[in-house]
Amino acid sequence: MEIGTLIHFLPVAVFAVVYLVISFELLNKAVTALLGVMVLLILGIITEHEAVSFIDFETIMLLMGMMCIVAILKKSGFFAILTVRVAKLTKGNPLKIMILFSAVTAFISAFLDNVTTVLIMVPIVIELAKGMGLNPRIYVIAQAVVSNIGGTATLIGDPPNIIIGSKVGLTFNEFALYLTFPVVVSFAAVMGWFWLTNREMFKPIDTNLAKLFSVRFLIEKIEFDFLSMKIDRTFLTKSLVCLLIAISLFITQRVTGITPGVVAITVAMILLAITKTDVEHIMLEVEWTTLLFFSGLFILVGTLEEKGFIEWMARNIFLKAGDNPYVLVLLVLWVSGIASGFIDNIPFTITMIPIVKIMLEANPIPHNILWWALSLGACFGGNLTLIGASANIVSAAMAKRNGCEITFFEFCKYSTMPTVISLVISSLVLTLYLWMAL
Amino acid sequence: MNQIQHMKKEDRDNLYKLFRNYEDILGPDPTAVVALESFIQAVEELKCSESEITSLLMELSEVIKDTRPRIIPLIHLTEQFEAEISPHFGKSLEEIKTQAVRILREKIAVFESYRAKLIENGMKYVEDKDVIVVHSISYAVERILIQAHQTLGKKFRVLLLKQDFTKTGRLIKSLSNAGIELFIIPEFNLSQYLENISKLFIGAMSVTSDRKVVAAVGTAGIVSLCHLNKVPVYLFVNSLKFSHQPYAKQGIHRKNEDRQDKDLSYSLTTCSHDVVDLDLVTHVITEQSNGQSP
Repeated sequence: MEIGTLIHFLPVAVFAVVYLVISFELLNKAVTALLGVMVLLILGIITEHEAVSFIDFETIMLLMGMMCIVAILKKSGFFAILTVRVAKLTKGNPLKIMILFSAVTAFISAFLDNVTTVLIMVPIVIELAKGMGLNPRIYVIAQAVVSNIGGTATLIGDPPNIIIGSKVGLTFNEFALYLTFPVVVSFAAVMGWFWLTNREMFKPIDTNLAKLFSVRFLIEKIEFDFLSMKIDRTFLTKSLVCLLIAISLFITQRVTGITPGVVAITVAMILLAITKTDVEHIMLEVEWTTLLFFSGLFILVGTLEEKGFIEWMARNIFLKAGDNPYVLVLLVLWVSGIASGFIDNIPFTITMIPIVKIMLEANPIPHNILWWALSLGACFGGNLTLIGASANIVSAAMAKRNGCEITFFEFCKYSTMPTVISLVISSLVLTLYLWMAL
Repeated sequence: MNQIQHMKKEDRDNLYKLFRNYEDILGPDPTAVVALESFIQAVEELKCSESEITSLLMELSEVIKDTRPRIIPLIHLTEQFEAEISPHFGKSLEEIKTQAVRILREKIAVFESYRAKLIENGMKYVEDKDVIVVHSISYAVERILIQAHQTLGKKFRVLLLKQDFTKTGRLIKSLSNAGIELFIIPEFNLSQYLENISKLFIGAMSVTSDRKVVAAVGTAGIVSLCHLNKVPVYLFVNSLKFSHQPYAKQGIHRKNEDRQDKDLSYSLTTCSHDVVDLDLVTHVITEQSNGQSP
């Protein structure tokens, strides 16, 4: 093989190795991605300036800004108030615990990142389920599943959406307009599935005095823990007002012309200034490794794009499926859904964006439906297995810490059907959108 | 008709763990009150037939009386409840529920009156210029100090022995909010301050029939040290905390856990409470007594 040909394939080889190492979690994701970038730089395949130009700073700004906002919100006690209120509302009814906590998890996930949401909700759900003598596993898995479903509804809910929105220029409102419907229907269907398959578990406990006592005693304790917390009402008000301002600016992006990344960073900095929070402390809460991981992946995929490999993949794999828009949309949805169940949906989405762009150039499909297919597939697909999404891994780790281990197969037992259900619903909704558009 | 489902061992263990968590942070008195309030709410929400309610009430009473460790005031109050509700068995469901709620409310009122009298009695033992050592969370000790300072205007200082933050943190907050002069030291440093202290105040989970005091972990060492150095030890307990059973029947919980610290793996056994010989206590103060020797 000639040296020239070898150099041509080197970015592909580096990318493949990085993907494998990330998939099998052999090394830290950020370290792997940046090592891949360093190999490309050392071999002279790209220059430093080219590397930096490949990074989508809009995505990085949006992620960083939202991480700061969430860190300040956590400090304000907002989540403690929310979880205690929800726990009291459930009155210890197993079905209410499932539905109310899931609804709150899905809703919060639409605006904040999924890992933060499950970190807040899962411990209290485990405590409640255990206190009632119920198996907490199904509750934990349900929180992870609905968190991934809820996060799909908005531009800022899940990293794949942040990346798609930023790289393609789609607005918060467009995401909400097209994705809220499939998300709400999928949420309802998944809740229905959990209820149908576990009816025995969701029977009310009001015929069992000892269980009623345990739950009442537990809720009193949760409330006591909450009352012992010091809540600074001014701090809380400032945080909530700023979050609402950020969401309003996301919604009015077309009018103001301010991109979500700029909104997130601006609001985060204003919050830091007006709450006089310890900046060093908040910076520790920012997931720098995630931001470095994103940057590294942008460079790796940017290199593949520049070297023409992405175009080759689009033409030789996806465009071989023909030019029927229904087939293309469903192909992107299901390939993304299945792939995201086994590999990280962040690198997958970053890789797929240039491919979908080429597919759209060859077959223009209206109303960004192909992008919605990618978003729904990448986000919902994360529910397929335990390793499909960060929220799943974090939920399982928290369950283990609380004495209830969830194995890979146990997770799949309860998550595979919800994934299939949500992907089937997405297929129907996307087909409907396409039928209306054509 | 619903079939009565008895509480599984695993569920009981979870409930008793919850009791321990509560007791650890709040002390036994508030835990007993919260348990009785939860009992009331559970009875109000209960849906069952007339034939089931008797066994359901008795089952819950048994569960509450069997906590690990035993919460003695709760056991006494539950036994009183059992005695007072049994004449109503055989009446209508609603009548039994109404009577159960009424009796439980009365038990809370009885317990609170005992607590109030103990606090009133206890305040007499706080004197100006005292340096009082406080070790662990005790509702009675906490309220006695606060009220002696705020109501009687006593000028004293508290040497607070710090355990882990969740236990001591609440005490630091409530005593300092009350304006009490507070010095906080690690509990293992008490030997450095023995010359400066005037008395040790402790509360207890129970006082057993074989003259033992079941108290929070760490209490035994502190009491021994004070006793050896002739620092008077004041124990504040209401008479509902006196158990008819010996120490061995108090159900002290032992937890075994595998630990890994650096390159060492070992199994660690922790007891939920300490046991103190009553002879080491200088004064026992109840809601009726006036600080007689035990």
